[in-house]
Amino acid sequence: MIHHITLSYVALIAVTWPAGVQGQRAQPRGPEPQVPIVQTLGCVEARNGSTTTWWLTRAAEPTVTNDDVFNENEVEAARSSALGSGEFQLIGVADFLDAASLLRFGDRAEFTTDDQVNATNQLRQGGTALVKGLLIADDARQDASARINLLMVVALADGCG
Amino acid sequence: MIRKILSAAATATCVVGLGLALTGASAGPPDDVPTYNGQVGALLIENCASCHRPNQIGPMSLLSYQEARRWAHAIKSKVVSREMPPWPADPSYGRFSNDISLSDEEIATIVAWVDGGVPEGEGDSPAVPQYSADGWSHPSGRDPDIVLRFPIEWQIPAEGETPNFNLVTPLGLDEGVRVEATEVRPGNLAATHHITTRLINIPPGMQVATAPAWPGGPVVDYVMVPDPDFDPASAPANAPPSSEEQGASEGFGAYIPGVGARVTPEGRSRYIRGDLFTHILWNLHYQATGLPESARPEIGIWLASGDDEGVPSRERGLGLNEVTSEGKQLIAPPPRPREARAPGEFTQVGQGLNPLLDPIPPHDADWTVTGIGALQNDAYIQSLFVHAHLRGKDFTFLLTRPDGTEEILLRVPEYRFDWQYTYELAEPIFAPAGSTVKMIARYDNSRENRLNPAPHKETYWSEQSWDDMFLTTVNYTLASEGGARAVSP
Repeated sequence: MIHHITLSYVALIAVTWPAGVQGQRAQPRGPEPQVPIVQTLGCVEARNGSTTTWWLTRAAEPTVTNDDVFNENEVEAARSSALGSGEFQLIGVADFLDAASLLRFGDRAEFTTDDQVNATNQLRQGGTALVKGLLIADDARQDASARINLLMVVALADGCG
Repeated sequence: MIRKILSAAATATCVVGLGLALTGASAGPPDDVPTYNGQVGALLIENCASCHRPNQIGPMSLLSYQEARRWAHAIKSKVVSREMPPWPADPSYGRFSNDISLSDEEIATIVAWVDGGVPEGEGDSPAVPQYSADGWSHPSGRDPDIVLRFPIEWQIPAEGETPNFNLVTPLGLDEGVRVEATEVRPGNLAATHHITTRLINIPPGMQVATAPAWPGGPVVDYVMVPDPDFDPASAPANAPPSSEEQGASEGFGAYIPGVGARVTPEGRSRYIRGDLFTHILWNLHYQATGLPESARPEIGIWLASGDDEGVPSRERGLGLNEVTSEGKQLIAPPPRPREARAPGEFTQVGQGLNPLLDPIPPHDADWTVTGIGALQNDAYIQSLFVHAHLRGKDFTFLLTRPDGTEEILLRVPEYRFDWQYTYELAEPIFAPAGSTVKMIARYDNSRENRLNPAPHKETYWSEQSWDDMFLTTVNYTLASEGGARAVSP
């Protein structure tokens, strides 16, 4: 059976349905995030092993934030912010490296070429960076360095500290 | 079995340049030549007839031997080139339940049938489904169980630019419904650029009233405007969200070119939370055709079967923020206080489209934009959607898990405005909390792009087809609400 809900019918419902009743409907809420989005700044360090890993050292205490891109005020404030003592492994780094490094990452070279690549080169060895990402604390790992899965990176300086 | 969904529509270009020669059938084909009644008819009906039948957008019907025979050489040409059935995704990545592409074996069967003289064959013709008399495109041919009609016939002037605008109508459902398919029909194909629909609640301080549909636009009902009687002091200190948690939304679906009914994979019905939401927000975008037009869109809902039971959960949408472009990290200007905004800003016209992106320079063939979205809870990715206009070139979705591994979820190497699918994953992909999804887009503003209306001009970002858009959504369900079974009770 087809129910055609037309203007008049819907409007009638709206008129005869007291606003207070609508207000009593359960409100949709999302669950508490298992993983927070944070921002912090620190020194960028590439460590060479079997594969290169990227780290943020001397990192400031992360603060919980949202996924909006940084605005100019936040970037300017970060330039005068103090470093800290935190250390985080950075993952999801490819898009924030230089073009050559991005193309060596995973399957990127399968669909991106040197003249098409969108690599920001904001994550530079030895530099200071402001980062935002998902903070993943892996308590099960013995080498339990927390990781940040990157959402954005802004280079603040070529040196650090 | 993978459900074949022919939600796409064929364009008139299907037949341009193709010979229309009639092909005669031979009475006695060799035994190894496929026949219409034996193999080919069922293939065409299953894979082509959702569009190529009366009252659908395909330019010719392919429901019978007599009809298919006339177009045999055109069919061969189009399937060999893989132009038809249209499916722009790279088969190397991901499996999708609405993949309508033909297998190599199926293409070889059609080629052998044409080359073998287009034999009809012995026996009965393949059964033709009972298609909807009202033109709904559910592959079963069933009419929807519920139709939600837009309340008014919208008038579109013959000339000029109509902005993208929003109207809000009561939902009219007071309980959750489990659905296997939804379809948004525009009511006027020629004059409709797109329609998206979303379930919302009216935010505190707002009301639905009679007002201009956009600043300077026609005065109509169903416009969401500030409530002049609203007293902020009376609002709860912890006012409930007006739609969903940040980044999430819930939609019936959209009308965009090439898209018909959105059918969930078998056994994975969606749950539309009529118990949580009160209104439908219609985002409407019309374009002048040179003639006065009107349109009254509608939403068809096919309820899931009664034996599809379990813990209901709803699908959420994660929009990916554009974060980098052309090697630049995007940075927003300083935020403006609310009182500095123009009246109506961010409430009626447009969607604040990509305000941080630079325009695409003239003749640039590889303009890049990357969007990233964060999954803060364990989730199952159900489907992927991308929308761009005529400069859209190629798109790649990547999942970065918390362990740092990266997986290509979907590649669309040759994006086509005509075929804007929601790519439904054949099996949901688990994304642990802490994962990100990236979408890397390229745009072609060069003259090599044959659809490009103005390669010599900068391309700006707006809802108008002559500009372009970066709009992408990852549809997912929460593991805490049932995991992979969230939409597959």
